Amino acid sequence: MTARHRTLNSVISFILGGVLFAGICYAVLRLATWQWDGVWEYRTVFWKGWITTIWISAAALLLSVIFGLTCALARRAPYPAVRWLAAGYVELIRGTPLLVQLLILFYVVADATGLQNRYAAGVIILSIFSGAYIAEMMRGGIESVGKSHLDSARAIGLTRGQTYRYVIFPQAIRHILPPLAGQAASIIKDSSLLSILGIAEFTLAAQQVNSATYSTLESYLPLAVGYLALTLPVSLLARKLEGRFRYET
Amino acid sequence: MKLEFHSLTKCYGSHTVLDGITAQLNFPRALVLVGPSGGGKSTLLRLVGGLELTDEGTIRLDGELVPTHEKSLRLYRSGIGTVFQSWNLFPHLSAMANIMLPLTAVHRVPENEARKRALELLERFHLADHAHKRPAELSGGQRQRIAIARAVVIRPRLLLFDEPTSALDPEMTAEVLEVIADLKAEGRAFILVTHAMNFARVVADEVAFLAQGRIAEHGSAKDFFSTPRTPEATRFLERVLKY
Repeated sequence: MTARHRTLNSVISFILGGVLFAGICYAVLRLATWQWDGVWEYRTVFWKGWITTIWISAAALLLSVIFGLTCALARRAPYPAVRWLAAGYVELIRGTPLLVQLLILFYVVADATGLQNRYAAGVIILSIFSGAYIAEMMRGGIESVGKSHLDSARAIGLTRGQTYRYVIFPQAIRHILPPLAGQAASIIKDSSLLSILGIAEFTLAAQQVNSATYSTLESYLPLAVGYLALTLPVSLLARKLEGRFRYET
Repeated sequence: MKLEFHSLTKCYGSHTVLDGITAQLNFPRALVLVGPSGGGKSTLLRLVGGLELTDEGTIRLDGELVPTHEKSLRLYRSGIGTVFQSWNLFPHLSAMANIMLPLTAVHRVPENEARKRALELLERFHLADHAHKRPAELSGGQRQRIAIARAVVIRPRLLLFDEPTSALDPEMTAEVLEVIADLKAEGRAFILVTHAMNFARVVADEVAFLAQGRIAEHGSAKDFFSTPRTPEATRFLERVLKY
């Protein structure tokens, strides 16, 4: 395809996309009878929920990185039992829906262990879920380091810990960072499911506003916009990281 | 240096790579291992370097038993400088950082002292201008000379070179061989696995010929290249020196 064809192509795509988007907006705006007044009164509910979503996601990201790293290292442990345990965790969590995990871990496990704080429980469950995915990213990153480098590390006389610190992690990080940024966006979206535990985050806020005002669309449109405001910057960061690391390799 | 093998055996799965080697090799400075590919040269070198464990038998270096437990083996390895065929520099570190790492991390040499010693070697190998480049920005010959600097900087009791020029073009090969000859002149002891026969002839004090997992013969370089004693070595030399 020539450069001119490419330009023409993108211009046509742009116009078609614009027309489609305008059509949808028109239909929504025209067909719905908007009642923003009721919803506007609940703006602080939205705001508080949005802030809660931010800190819950941030806490879950931090904790799931710790879980993921522990699990990735455990999968390379010299003891088979530890490796199997870690592999079992990853397969179990990645093979079941988050909703099911939330229900079981919250109403059965958290209840049995006496964990009363639903926010703490929510963050931990979300981190257990996300940690399984991060563990796989980290495992991939660690395994991307060539065997010859591990050989060199041994020849120099580095210990296992030093090999991770000086050789494996600095090289693995370029493989891990881009998908990790993507996972951060997923955590933000997945945190919406915590609403079923009665955690007053962004989605629960919108549900409350909806049941108080009966203005469904007016309650949920801000919800979509609020999530996008968080996930778009993170996605852009992920793409930027991908580009940068691809260039360096 | 004195290197002794006693019933040394190494297998990978069902494949026997070293088949009960018993030998005593004496070399003032340079021991060169030659022989056909798959004859066990590299494996023998890795066993001497403590990078692999023996299945059976023992190795003694100057009378001292090469350890077989990971912890003492690590200490043993840290006193030996190893240079592989290729890709043994860490790609995320500059040339300078690559050379400094074993000093600062393993030998607990202070940062500025390590930097000084690394720079001395870079200057000696005509690489001072490249100190801050990463391996990807360097030529194969430069990379290999930096790998040699990293092995030498710890002042090892023994250097091991595993086919250090096999991945290089003739000009880069010459650069690297020059450095190895230079190290010999300085008095460094090393074991070299190589296919560069002419260089082996020049640099070796002692030559060991490995074929089918055994040391078929060994002796001074002069004797080995002029009058090989075994038919295998005779055939091998005829073939590799023909062209």
